[in-house]
Amino acid sequence: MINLTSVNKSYRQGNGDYQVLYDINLKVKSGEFVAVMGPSGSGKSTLIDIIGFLDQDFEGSYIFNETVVSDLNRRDHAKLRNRSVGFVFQNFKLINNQNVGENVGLPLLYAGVKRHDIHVRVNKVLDQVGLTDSYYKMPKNLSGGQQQRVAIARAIVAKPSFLVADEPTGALDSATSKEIIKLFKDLNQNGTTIILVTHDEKVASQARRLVKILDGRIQSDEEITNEDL
Amino acid sequence: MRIYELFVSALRSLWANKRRSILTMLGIIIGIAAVITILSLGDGVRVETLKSLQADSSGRQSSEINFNTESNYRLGSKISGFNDNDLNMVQNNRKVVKAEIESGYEGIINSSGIINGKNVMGNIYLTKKPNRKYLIAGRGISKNDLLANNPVALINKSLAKKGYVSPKNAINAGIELNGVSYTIVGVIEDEATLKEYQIYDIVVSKKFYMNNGADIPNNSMKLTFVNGTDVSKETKAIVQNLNKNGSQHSNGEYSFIDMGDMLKGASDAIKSITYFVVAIASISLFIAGIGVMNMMYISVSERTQEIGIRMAVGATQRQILWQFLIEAIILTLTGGMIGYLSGIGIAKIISAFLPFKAIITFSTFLLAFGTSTIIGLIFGILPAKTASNKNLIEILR
Repeated sequence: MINLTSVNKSYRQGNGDYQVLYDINLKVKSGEFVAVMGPSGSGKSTLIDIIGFLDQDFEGSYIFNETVVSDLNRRDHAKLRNRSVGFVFQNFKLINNQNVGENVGLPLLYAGVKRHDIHVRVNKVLDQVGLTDSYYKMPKNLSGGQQQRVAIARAIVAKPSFLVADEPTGALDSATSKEIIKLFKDLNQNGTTIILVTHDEKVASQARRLVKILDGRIQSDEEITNEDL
Repeated sequence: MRIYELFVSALRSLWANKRRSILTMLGIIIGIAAVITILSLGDGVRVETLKSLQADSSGRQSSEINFNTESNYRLGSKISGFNDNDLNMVQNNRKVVKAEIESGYEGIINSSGIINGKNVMGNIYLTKKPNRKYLIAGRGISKNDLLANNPVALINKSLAKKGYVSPKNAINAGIELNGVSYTIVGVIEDEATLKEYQIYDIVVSKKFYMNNGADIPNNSMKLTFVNGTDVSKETKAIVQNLNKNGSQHSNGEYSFIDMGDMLKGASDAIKSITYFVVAIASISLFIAGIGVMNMMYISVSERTQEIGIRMAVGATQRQILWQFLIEAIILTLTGGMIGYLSGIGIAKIISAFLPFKAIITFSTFLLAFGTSTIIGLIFGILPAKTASNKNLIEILR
């Protein structure tokens, strides 16, 4: 599904270029649960932005389901983002003056789904993430864990091909983190492909494949076998 | 994304910043209200002026058709331009309330006469009152003359000279008008005029003149119209008809003084004054537009996160652009409509204290609608572009 071949990425900084990714080769198949791990500054967020169609400015080839991502114009790139990926951010990124239902329904709104259908679908997804009857609540009245559930609901509402989570537990306490990771595992067991970025080994160990990154290079890429759940 | 949804989300975010939205709108409201007030009052003045120019003192609209023979000033012309058939024909026009046939202009008719055996011609002023204006010799026509039906006449200097060499000699001599002899009791100046533009040469008592079988040609028709009639147009049509079918159409020409051109001039003058004032008032609209732009820029920078989130879930640049543009347009359009209504209200209130009514036309509505939309577009496009051109990665980090 996801096929990155010799991807390089550098930022222009001052006079010179500052390279963050070196020659990344990565393949992700449908249904996988991949954890990308590395210390801060290792380039893992940059990598995941490229994979998640947020960043189009890179060298190398990214082929997604036979679509050459680097060849798309901005509009098609945005469309691909809308239909094929769900993003979960560390700090949730909810629109604070809109209620939970509207936040979750946002991707469907941009996909051109009818208001009524959006409402039905959003309630279904809210049930799925354990936030039944929260449609009209405001994000600020929810706990961090609940807000991240809203964000996850928003990520999966349009039934994307895969889910990208950038430090999804980074702003949560350990108990809540566990719940969120459990939710990801449940989703994965139901067939959702998940790519998760973390620097927390506990979280990473819950995935089924671990990719380690250091200084912009992939150091290791292995299956996790010692699953304890 | 559905267009309807764009409007909904634009309305929501405007509502979320109520106070700021209303303050920004206020500029547009004041600008549009000023323009609409001026336009409505200007239209009112214009229509009122036209009405007063068309109507007589009692408010009726009237016009006058005259008949002139080809030899216009030939004296002794006894042709009446209008007869009963003509009158009936004109009265068949439903816009005509009243049609009256009158003789001559203001009591002056053309006639020939004989003075001391010489044929002369002149304009005779048929007076109903004692008259001694422009007198240079002898006496005027007195009240007694009128009461006693004395056959007396005043003639001008040149007639007197023609008949009797000098004005003095003419006094108490005779002049024959319309087959009747009059005694010349006084001599008047050559330039005697009635109402400053109708020259007359001879003055006699109207009553006496009429009683002695004088047939005064009926060469004038006064028309009164239903209120609100385009007098100029209707009269023109009647005149055309008379020139084709009138009783004397082969002997002369029916005509009228067209007030239309004069009215158009007055109307144009008022219009251009109105537009000039509107142009000044429009400056406030321009300032209000800059206010809208300012607010939209603030809004864009405040909602950077929201823009990032929307883009991250798949909003295209164009959708972001439209969202902000529609916000700006809703803001100005709402302001424009409120301004339009307040403008009407203000114009009505003001006109309650003025002698004319404000006139609200549909075109002013279109003007308010169009102007406010265009202001929204022009001053909203740059902030909206800024919003849609934001770098997604930079926003989200």
